[in-house]
Amino acid sequence: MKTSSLVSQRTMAVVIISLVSAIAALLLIAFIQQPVHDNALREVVFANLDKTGVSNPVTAVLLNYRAFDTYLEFAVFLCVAVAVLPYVLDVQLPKQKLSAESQVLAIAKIFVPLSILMAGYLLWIGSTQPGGAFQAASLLAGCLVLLSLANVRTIDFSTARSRFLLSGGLLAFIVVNIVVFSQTFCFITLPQNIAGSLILFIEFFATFAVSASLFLCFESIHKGHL
Amino acid sequence: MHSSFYAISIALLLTLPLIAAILCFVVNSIKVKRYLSVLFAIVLVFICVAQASYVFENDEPLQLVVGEWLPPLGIKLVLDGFSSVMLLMTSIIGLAITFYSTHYFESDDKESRFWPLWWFLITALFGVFVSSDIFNTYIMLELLGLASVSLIAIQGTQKALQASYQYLLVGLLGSLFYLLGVAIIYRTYGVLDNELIAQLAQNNLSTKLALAFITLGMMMKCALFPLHFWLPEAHSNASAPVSAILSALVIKAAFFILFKFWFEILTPVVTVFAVSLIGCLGAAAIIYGSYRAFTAPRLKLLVAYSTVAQIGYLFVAFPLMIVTPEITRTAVIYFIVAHGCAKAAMFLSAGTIQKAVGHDNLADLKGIAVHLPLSIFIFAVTSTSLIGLPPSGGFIAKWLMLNNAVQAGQWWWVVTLFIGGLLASAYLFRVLNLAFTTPEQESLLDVNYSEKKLLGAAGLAIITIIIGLNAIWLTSMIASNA
Amino acid sequence: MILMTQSMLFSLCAVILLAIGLIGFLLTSDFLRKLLALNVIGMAIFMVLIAAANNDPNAVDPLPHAMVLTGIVVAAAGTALGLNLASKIVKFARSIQGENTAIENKKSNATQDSSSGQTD
Repeated sequence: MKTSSLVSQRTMAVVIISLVSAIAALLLIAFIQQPVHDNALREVVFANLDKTGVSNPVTAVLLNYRAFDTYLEFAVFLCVAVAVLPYVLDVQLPKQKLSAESQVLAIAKIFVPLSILMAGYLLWIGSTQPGGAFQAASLLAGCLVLLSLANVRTIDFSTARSRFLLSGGLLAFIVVNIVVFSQTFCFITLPQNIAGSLILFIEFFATFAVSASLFLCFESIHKGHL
Repeated sequence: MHSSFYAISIALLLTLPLIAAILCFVVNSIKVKRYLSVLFAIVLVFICVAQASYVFENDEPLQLVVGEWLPPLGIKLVLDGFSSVMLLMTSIIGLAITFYSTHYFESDDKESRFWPLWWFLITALFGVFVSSDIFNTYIMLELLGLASVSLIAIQGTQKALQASYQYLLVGLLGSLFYLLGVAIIYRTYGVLDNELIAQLAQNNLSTKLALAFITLGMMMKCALFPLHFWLPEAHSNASAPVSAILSALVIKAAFFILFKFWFEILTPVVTVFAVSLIGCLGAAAIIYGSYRAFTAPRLKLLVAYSTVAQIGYLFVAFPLMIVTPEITRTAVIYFIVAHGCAKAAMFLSAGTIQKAVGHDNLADLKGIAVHLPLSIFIFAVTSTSLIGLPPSGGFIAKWLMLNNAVQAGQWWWVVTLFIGGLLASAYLFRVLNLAFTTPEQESLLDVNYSEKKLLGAAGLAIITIIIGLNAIWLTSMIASNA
Repeated sequence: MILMTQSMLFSLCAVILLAIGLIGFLLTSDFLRKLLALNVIGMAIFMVLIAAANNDPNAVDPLPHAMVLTGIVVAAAGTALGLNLASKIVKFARSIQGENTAIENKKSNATQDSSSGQTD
């Protein structure tokens, strides 16, 4: 009995590996045969770059040309935060004793202020160089994780304030949409003169919202699994 | 009202549900969440009705260019005949389920988790049906999948958690295959807009592979046999409103995307062999799903397997699309509307039965019709639509497809459609039979349950009959426009 | 012979990574490893996009970069939800196991008492 199931497991594995290899080979042949598209879109991106309010082309694509994608991406993140929040609230928080000078706390004392500074720089520089809200948010989330590992209580997720923090990015984007609509009667059409500041406004709130959501996802597993 | 006002209403469709989601998340009081949700649901129905009437009167699609950046630089949102019917269906079924959910949950805790996730799901559904950009559709699909998984996981039981995790894995793999298709299309053509790709598409290996990957991904997401294994567990272990929206609309969203790719965007690649293969899988789904439904021990499991079988019908329409595109398209839209309303009402009534009796084991549900008359009435009416008996909408849909298959001379699909109807009647009459037989012992069921929240479900069931009676009006409207 | 540009090399690596991820997903039965395999597949698809962007190293296409940024965020969100669900499932399984062992201990104690009672 055991050997026959083992044999059928082996044959199943062989079949799967050969199928996947065939698909990969086909994909490779397609990539070799088919040249990449002509780069016509790039010229259009750079031609309109001065109307977008930023000079980094990736930020312009993310937050102006295809801002709708980023709007929904904030919604995806908030959806996951909403789904995960009850798991954090279910857990009885243990009594936090700040053990005297644990190693992690020592590292945190050095790194957290530097990281916050770095995150602010990344957020600001996103309009001209590679950077932006998500990069800054992941750095901030790292800070929060480090502090949580050092047993420092950072965000209390049972208050309504923290829920506002989590929905901050999407809320800021909706506010911008409404304000812009009242001026231009079009959907997410950032006027050229204030486009840069509007993008910074959205990115500012989004940084905190995304970092809080990432920290929430970590915290619910870390505290919940004790 | 000029057309730009209607175009902006598309933007409202994607902003209002998100505002509702944030409000339901931040506010503490459960009563406020309920009233807010019902209010938003009613407003959205009005918007969708206005849009649908504009699109069908003026016979041209509504378009909204987001940010005034024309494709290929920006994103365009398009509302054609097919989309407006789907949007109308989403808002009306959403309203019925919203009414139902205000009285359904036994614990406030579960209900306060339900509402924000519900609104994210509605946003994602609206987004899939209006998006005309393939990468934007990917993000909508992801939001749809994550919201669905979270809604199933609210139940909190071990089986619900395991079912939702399995659904998450399958859903993520499906989305990733779709993204691979998008990546190949972008690499080959350099544009992401549906219409531009349709103009540029050629029949080469890259495009064939892209369509294959997209099809594989969407097959996983709409549970076409043999990739249906996640659906029975997920839909039967979720709470009733969640099962209703999942079976009625979330599956259809994946089918909508697949339909657009095969017959509007990547049409040069479609071959007769490919559509016949899909049709055979659809036929296998009908037979396998009906068999498992017939032997299912629980009511909700039976209804979930019934969804697996009914999805097969939609895929049997693929080979017919090659031969007679317009009529088959009308038949497909009709079938989606009839099945969506029927399945949502069926799950809602099954949920009432489960809450009233405490379980849903079919063997112990003898004689329920006396105690829960409205639920069994709704179940019976929606069964007629699923089996395809006149005067229901399901009959019109199946008649259109049968007519089509006979005209095309493809007799094997005719036989399949007939057998499907017979099998559906077998497993649905099984339930009705049990419900109406008097039990041997004195009633073990002490059922004293108010059924007023089923008014929405009753409305849906009546809709399935109305679209059956007014077939000519509806089919001419869809056929001329979609 | 194909011209091995940087873009072609990245595409080749992406396809191999995709194959590894897919084989890993289909062959493993551990549910956490399946989630990891999904992440590998995701990274492979992002590599395909970046390779397409870098076709001409002097004129880099910014659109796939934005697509990959969005894709990474969405994949991270999905993985976070999956890990939370997995943690809940394991907690549930542990608590059920804990109950089962408690019931078994009670049973074995009861049988021990009754058997010791009989021998007396």
